[in-house]
Amino acid sequence: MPKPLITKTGNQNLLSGPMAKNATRGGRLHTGRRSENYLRALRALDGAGSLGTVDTEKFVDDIRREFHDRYTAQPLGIVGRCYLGDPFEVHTVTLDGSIIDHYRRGQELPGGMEKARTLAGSGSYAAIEVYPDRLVCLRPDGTVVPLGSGS
Amino acid sequence: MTDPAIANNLRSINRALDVMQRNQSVLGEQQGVLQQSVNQVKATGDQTRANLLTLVQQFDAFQRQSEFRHNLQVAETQIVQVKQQLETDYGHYKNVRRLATGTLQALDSGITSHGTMRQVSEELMLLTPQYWLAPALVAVAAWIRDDPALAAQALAEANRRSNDKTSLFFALVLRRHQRNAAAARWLGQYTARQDPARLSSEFMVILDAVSVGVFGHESKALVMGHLMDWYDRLSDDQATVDRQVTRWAAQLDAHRTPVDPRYHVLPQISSTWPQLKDLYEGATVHGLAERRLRAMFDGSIGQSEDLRVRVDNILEDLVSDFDAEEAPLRHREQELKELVKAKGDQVAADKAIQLAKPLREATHDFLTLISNAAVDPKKAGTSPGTQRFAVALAKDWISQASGRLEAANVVAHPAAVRVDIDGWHHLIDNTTSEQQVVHDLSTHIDRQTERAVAAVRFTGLPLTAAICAGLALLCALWAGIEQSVGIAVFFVLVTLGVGGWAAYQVYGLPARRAELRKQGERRKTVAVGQLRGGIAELLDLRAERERELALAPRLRQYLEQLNGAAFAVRAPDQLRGV
Repeated sequence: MPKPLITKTGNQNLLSGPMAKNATRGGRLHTGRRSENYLRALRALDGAGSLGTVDTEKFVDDIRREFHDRYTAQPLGIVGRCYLGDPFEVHTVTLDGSIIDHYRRGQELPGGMEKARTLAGSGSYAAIEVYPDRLVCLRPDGTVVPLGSGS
Repeated sequence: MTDPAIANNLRSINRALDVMQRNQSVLGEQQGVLQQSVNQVKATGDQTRANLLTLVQQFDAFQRQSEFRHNLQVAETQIVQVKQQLETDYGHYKNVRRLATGTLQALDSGITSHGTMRQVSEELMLLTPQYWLAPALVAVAAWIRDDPALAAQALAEANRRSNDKTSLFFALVLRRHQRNAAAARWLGQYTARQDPARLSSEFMVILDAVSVGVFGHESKALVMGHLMDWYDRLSDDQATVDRQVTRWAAQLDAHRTPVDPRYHVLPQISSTWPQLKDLYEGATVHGLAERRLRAMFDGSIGQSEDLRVRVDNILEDLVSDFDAEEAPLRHREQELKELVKAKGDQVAADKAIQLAKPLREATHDFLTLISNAAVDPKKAGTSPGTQRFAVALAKDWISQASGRLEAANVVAHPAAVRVDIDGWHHLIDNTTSEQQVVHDLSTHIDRQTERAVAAVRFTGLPLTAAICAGLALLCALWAGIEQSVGIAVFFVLVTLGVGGWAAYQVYGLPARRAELRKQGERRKTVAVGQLRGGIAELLDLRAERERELALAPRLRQYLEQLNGAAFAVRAPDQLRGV
């Protein structure tokens, strides 16, 4: 099992915040350009190992807000290239439990996120959002590429 | 036996040994020649195998050509048959179609009597039962000579036969004569009836009319309002947008630059080559798409300054291109034309037909209609101006399609490339050092060579022969001591024969080992050359692919600046309008 660097479970303030209360997986796909706040939060989370809990809460809340404010579907998780260095390859952010995990090479990603691994590890995209039926590639400039539902 | 006799015998044995040594050296030379002959036979064998392979390839190519020729002949014959059937079944519609613009132009010039117009239109009404255009023309002729009763009757009949086409026809005819308010009413009626999820193909006429500037202020505002509303509404439906993106992805992917034939080593040594080739060619679609789009938007489209000419062109399209009953035959004709265009290659033709499939549906959603006009204006029955308008409206889907192809290309990139050379294989990835793999390959071939050299030893039959010769010599000496001359001579001969053969084998061993080493060195040089060439080609191909993929953002930037509204041209009679 990967060692969770930051783990929040149960009835904690992240889940009781306004964003979490209204967070939804349903709704249409957010295909617009992602905000600077969202991108900043993603970048910051990559170095989450050195961040304090309060900062992490703020960044995960920023990520949730991106979808919540637009009444769009929230991804199951976000996979990004890990810059912690060898042997870590990718990290995942799951918005439900606000868990950030860093994965080593060859270590399988849980919850259907494995299919985003190659894209995330390629370095061509800032992150990959994983939805139940599709992947959305996020470019560093905030534009997105929704892949087909079969992808 | 006396001493001189023994001395004589020993002399003859010495002479025989001398002769044998000479024979051995001759045999050694002959072995060299034999080795050369064996090499030649091997080279001839390789050449024969290569020739056979070429022959098989030529035979396959011949068989394919023959199949293509047959398909082409059949398609050409069938096109003639389909055209004949179209002519027989619907040829008489042509006269009615010609009369549509003919009547209006005759009215412009004022040199045709009302009686003639009435007579011709009513005659055609009799000759073309169930065709919507005939009563519409009777209505036009009645309108021209101010016969409202007949005009209303004929109009009702035309509406009954095809409500939508009749509305569009009269909207265009009225706009031609600048009766703008009336034209807008017809158009309003028409658009109000339309369901943006199920538009008939004649709706293309509206796109055409907007893009070439046929509509006046009243109609244009109405139509553009509807179009943008539909566009926004359907764009919210992810499934409909996905269909457009998938279609554009297939469209972009159909135009690839083939890989340069200078890559010839990698295809020979790598089983990953088909994947690498596909990835490179897949990466070229973005640059090609940008070039094609730039060519499409470059230059001006020659539009007539006369509103009537513009309307007549669209009227001709309306009356000629969108009759559903002719559609099956026209589609068949199109399929056969694709086969002829592909020079009989059924697979290529099927691919083109599949790409054009959305054009053949009876109804389309609005977004598909836009894609139809943008992908192939000729087949969709629209003008190049409309294509620009449609591409500008479809820019987001093209951009997404390009992004999707780019992502698919990134995902499909193999983590390692396998090379197979002379029984050695290796996976080359980002961490591989060229020196290391070259060393690995050299070691492999050296090991094989050493194994082959080690196998060339003085063992088996030659060793047995040498032992036998030794035993025979002992027997000869024993017989000599026992003074049995005959037996001694016999054993001496056996010793000479068997021993000579064994000695010959021993003598040939160093030459064979040297030859094997020489061959090993040659193999190593060729193999290392191949490996180095393959790695160089791999690096070149990777760099080229990355260069091609880097063109994807440029394509997106280009698409970004296209603006749909800018391609909706103003009407020539209202250039100063709002």
